[in-house]
Amino acid sequence: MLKLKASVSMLLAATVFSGAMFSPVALAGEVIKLATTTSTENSGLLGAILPKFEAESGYSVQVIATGTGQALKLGSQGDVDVVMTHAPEAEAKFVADGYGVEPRGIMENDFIVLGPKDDPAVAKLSKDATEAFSKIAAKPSKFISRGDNSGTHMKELEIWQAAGVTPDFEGYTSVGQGMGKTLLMANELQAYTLADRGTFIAYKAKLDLTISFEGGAALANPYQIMLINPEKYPDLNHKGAKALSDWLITPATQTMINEFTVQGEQLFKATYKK
Amino acid sequence: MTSSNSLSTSKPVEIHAQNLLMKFQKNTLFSVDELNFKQGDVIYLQGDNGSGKSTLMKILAGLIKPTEGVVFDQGFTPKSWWQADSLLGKAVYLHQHPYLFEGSVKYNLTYALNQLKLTSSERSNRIKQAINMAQLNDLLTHHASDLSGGERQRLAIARAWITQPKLLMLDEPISNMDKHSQRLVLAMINQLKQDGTGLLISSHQTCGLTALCQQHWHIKQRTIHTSMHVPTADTVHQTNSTELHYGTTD
Amino acid sequence: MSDGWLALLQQAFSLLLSFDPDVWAIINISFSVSFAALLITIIPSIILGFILAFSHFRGRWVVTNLIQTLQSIPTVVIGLLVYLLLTRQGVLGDLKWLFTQQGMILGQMLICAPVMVALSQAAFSSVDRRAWETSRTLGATWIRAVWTLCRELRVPLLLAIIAAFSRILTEVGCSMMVGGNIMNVTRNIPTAIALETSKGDFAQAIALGLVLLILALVLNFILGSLRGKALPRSH
Repeated sequence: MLKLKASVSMLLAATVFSGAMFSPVALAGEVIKLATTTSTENSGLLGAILPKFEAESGYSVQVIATGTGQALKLGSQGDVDVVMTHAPEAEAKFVADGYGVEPRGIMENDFIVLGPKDDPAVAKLSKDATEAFSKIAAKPSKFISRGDNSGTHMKELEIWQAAGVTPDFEGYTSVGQGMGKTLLMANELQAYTLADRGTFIAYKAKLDLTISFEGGAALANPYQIMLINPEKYPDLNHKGAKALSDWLITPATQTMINEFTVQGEQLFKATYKK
Repeated sequence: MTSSNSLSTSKPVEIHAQNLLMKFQKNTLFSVDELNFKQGDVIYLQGDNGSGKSTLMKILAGLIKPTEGVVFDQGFTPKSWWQADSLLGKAVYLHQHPYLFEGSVKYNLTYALNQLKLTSSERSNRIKQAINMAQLNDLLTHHASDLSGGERQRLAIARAWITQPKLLMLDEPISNMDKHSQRLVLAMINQLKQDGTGLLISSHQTCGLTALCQQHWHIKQRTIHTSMHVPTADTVHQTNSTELHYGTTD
Repeated sequence: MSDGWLALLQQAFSLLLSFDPDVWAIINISFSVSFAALLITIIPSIILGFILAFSHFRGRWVVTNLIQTLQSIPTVVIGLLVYLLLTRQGVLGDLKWLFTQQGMILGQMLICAPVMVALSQAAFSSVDRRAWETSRTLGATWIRAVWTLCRELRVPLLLAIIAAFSRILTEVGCSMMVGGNIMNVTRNIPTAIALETSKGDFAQAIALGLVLLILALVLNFILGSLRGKALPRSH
């Protein structure tokens, strides 16, 4: 079987080799494949800081922006060199299962509950996120869920659970889209949704939504970078991944994260502590 | 024909067919125990419409396989191993309505030359002769699809002639053409006969064409009768009315 | 959403005309990947189309039907299949082609081949049988005879190639899954449009959409004039 697999691979490699020569990008430096969430990519943070890393280290970073679930899956399959996500429970499991090593909290932003400006569910006056969610479900108001197993989606489910609500009430829609798309849909439908602050600020100008609830420990959104266990996948670019992780926690980079703004607002708070 | 030396020096070539049986679906088209078609033969193939004249020629050309029986060749210079057992290209078959390739008359004329290893002088010689023989001088740059029926047939014969085939099969070569073209085609066929090319000519009328022939194959009642006697125009005049104006339509 | 349509269109044009490097990198990737997939696929597909049209081997019916079916499979399903093949645990995981242009090329080959095989099979089935017979009896090898048929059928075959090319150039599902939409590596026009739209960044999406639109217009114009020339020959 292995032999067959190898020979099929060889054959295909030969067939598509010519195709590779069309590649317009000269991959001079070594490549680091980073699987991360749409929130870091769509907000523009990675676009703002990674070129500096590439210039300093000579590595080139390829960003695969997806949901947290998919990003961790890619990591556990050995399809990427390093992952950066924001779902503490799933990340803990990822490490416990032996796929992820050296998790480092590098920054955080927070989740916010967004909704129509007239706030039909009166979520604004809630004392915490759980209460805000209960009010939305009780009305019932329209609520758009990412539904894509992303960090945001997992956080949302966590809050529903805390509120003792099964999210299948009338008005609850699971769209299976990234953060940006979900915001645009919530905007079109004038529905409530849970979003990370970074993406919201980046999209603010395009949205006719407002923050219905913010603050509280339940809505904290910490980002971790994790290396892939070299014992599981020895041939990944572990050196590059480590270099990226090390670079993200340097004081200079941490300052850059704090200084990254969109439309004058700070999106992320650098949080790395030794 | 100085360039046709190769024909006379080598051993005469031959196509044999044995125990042929050709069926379409479940109906027998024809069967025959033995047929020989060799260099120097000029054979008149007679038969009614639908009796299988074209099918027989295509079998001998290697274009279709008979239902039963074997067809094999002798005396040809062996080809490369991977087409060694193929009859194709040995006895050349010319369709009743020739197919001309998309392109100019010249492209069609020289189509078969590219696969022959010829010196450039030999090549241009053959082209010149073919053009003269078929009187295509004024038409060389024309698009093949603009030719008349007679011109098409002349071009098709010239296109085959240029490869100097040792065996050539012509399917109704002078039907559907004007008198001028008929005369030219007859002259071309006569020239091929002079060169020693084996000819198998089908026609369902006797005419100046059949007069050239020395042998007679007749597909009748699902068998093929062969004889060394060719019927003259007088002996086979019971042609039916549809065939009478066959040669004059264009 | 405050941008007016005109303003968006204006931004889109200025992105294209100012040769915005990001936009043109995306266009470049789209074309080079799809061209590579097309070039690798053309010859085997046309030969397979020829074999399906001309020979009567056992199981031809099955192959023909299989190819018809493959044609109508959504590209995301092909994307899923290629993804599963290329992922580390997949049969072809050793190639490490997931999220690379090679992976995208492989996916696009699978999307493009059935279209080209089916259309060239149709073309070869329509060809005058005498063309083949004439070529062969004049002593052409089968390769040359096939080439001659291709020459006779250049219009329908070109149509097949263009149809296959526009299918792979515009497909988003497979490229997104297998390529991963990595900037400067695997982000092509369709995946970029999907991303930019999800970001609400319509100017770039429109600029890229315009490229596809213009290309579609040009290809359609070529197709139209070719069809005009493809009138059946009288003989």
